[in-house]
Amino acid sequence: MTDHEHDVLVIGSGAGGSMAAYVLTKAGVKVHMLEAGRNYDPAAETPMFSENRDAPLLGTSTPDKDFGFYNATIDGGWDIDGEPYSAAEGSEFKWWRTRMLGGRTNHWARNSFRMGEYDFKPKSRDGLGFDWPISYEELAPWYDRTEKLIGVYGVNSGLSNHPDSGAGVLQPPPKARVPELFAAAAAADIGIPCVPARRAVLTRDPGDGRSPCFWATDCGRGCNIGAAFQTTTSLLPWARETGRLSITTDAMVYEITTGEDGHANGARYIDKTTGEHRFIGARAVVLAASAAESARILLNSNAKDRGGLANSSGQIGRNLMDTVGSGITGQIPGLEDRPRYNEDGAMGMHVYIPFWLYEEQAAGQLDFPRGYHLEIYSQFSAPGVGWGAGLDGYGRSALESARRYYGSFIHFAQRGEMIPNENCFAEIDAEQKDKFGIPVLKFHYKHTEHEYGQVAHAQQASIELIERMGGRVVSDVKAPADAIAAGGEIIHEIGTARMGASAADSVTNSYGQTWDVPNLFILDGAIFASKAHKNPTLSILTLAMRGADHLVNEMKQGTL
Amino acid sequence: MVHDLMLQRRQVFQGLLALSAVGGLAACGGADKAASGQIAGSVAPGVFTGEEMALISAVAQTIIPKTETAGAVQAGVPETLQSLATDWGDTDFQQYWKTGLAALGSALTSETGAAFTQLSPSEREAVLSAFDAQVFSGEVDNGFYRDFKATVVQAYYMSEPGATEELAYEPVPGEWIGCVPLSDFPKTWAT
Repeated sequence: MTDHEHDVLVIGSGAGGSMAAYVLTKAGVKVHMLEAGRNYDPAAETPMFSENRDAPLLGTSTPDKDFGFYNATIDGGWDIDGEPYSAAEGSEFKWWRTRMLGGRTNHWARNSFRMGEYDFKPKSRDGLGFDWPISYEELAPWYDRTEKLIGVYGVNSGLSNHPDSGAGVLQPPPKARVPELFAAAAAADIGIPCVPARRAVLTRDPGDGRSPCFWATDCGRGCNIGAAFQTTTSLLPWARETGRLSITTDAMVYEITTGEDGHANGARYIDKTTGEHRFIGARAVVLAASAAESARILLNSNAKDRGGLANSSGQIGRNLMDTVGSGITGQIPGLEDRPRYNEDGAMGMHVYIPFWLYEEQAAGQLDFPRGYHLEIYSQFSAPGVGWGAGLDGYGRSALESARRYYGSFIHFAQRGEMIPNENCFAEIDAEQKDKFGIPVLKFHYKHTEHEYGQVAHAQQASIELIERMGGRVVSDVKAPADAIAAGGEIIHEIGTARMGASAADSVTNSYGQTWDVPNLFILDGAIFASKAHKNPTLSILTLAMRGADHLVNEMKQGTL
Repeated sequence: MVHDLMLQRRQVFQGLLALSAVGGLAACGGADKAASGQIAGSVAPGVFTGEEMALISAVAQTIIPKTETAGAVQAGVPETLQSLATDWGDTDFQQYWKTGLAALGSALTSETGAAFTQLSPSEREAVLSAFDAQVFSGEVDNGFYRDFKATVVQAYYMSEPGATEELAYEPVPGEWIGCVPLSDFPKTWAT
């Protein structure tokens, strides 16, 4: 029946798309992948050792390179020329788009926390939001497989709703740094847990060609030795090795097409190198273009009635969520003038503070629902733009105060759960199109008292930690509504094609398989039914592994 | 907030937060050039005249003098400032710096009427000490001096001598050992 050599079309090469391509090709399925961004070769293009002083503008952030000149995001960002998006009046939403092979996995923080049993059944627990159509117990073995495959450091802490991994799954974490030990001691005094963080960074040789961390260079620039997980050094080359993965980059997908039987039969895209419109067929389609882009493609598909494809529930674009974010910085006299030692470690967190108040929350003792964690950032590190800008004095005293204050600041970043609300959604903008002629997204976004209450609590906890460390708060402590990160700003947007137990009120089943179009799977953050405080990438990878495995089974059984 | 998040994401929180003068440059139109991949420091001479460069050098070296380690001039800070303004600044930015430098030169003229660049190092220190205190106490409003100083300090600590000698830097430490005698590990960060 096919006029193409592949069986499955995968749209997107980030965490979800790459995991799907890996699972499918390993199972013998031929896959063609479309990526909207350009090709990227981490071996040739990762500026791991470049010095900021040699970069334009000393390497600082610019509208072209939002996270600095050497950040791995070689194309894309908050704004892309000719590809606008809009926000409804009174809404603020920032949409990060990484346009390159491997997507955001090239630069993410690599924080990898499992969702727990409460996280999958939030509505059952407090009546808010939606339950997932899957339990933690069902997903646990898939988390084990994913963590083992990608490589995650951490320990089993045995804390409620922060699940332990299977035996032998985790890699050993690096020891805590001095400021982290100090923060952990303060936390222990107050009665707050502070445990080894979990990050997708190798600390042992996995024996698959990647190297363990060599304790140098900023992970955000990308990691061409493969220690910090990104699909361009792992899942994609492994899938290519099977001989069953082909990839077209610069392919801007705008529509998934369906046949007479209502099944997906391919996609239309614009070849950005020539501007030509192209069609590519397939037996099944995996959509993993990122939560908002996937929703946009579906809403722009099946354009006859403008209702969008796979949208009989009307839920596509709805339930848009992002991690609740805020932060407090302190200066700690006890960390001033401390002895020097190399404190780079794995660059990101070695320890963090997981949410510790589930019991109190369930007992109604807190004025906000759902948890958050505190990420801890403090270390001696390479100076960059912004460094030393408030330095006191001049001459020898200036040098002395630079040495004294170096490494004495600590930042607590709140990362919390947001509850879906009807004011947060994306829809097709009736007026605007991008330079390709594709209708753009319009975002609606409003936080609620749930999020503000949580921010206030996190601010208070952070201040208490700083004070217990003998420090002073140096951030401007704002009211929660002003302190909270704008929607999208934490770059964890999810929920726009949520999974559920019924076709009436959800877009997919627990495998990411759309209710309306059985050979169309959505395997990115769009399918999340809730936004736990846990950073989403590990769960995207895990759900994609399970969903792609299900797709393989259905193809083998002949149901697809 | 974006700045704050950027720092968290890059895992390079460095403290002493303040929006920098160099950060302002990007907003002033340097971005197009940034995309082209030009390397700073490649253009000389630039928008600052010899006289302006002399003032920049004299003030920068008084802020960061040569001690056991390199001072601002030895670290190439004046050339970095020249490059930032010439390669990346738009005309508004260049004018801001040139006007600011002229006013700074006047403000730093000694009581005897001698130009700052003509003073001895100890005289420069005395003049700058008084001026710096006035600015940072708010007695004198001089936003340019704050920007100038911030840029000098950043350029210095990002330079090779500032980074490797003053703060201690090692490209690749090789292993992570979280618990060691401190005397064995004098370097503080890698690449």
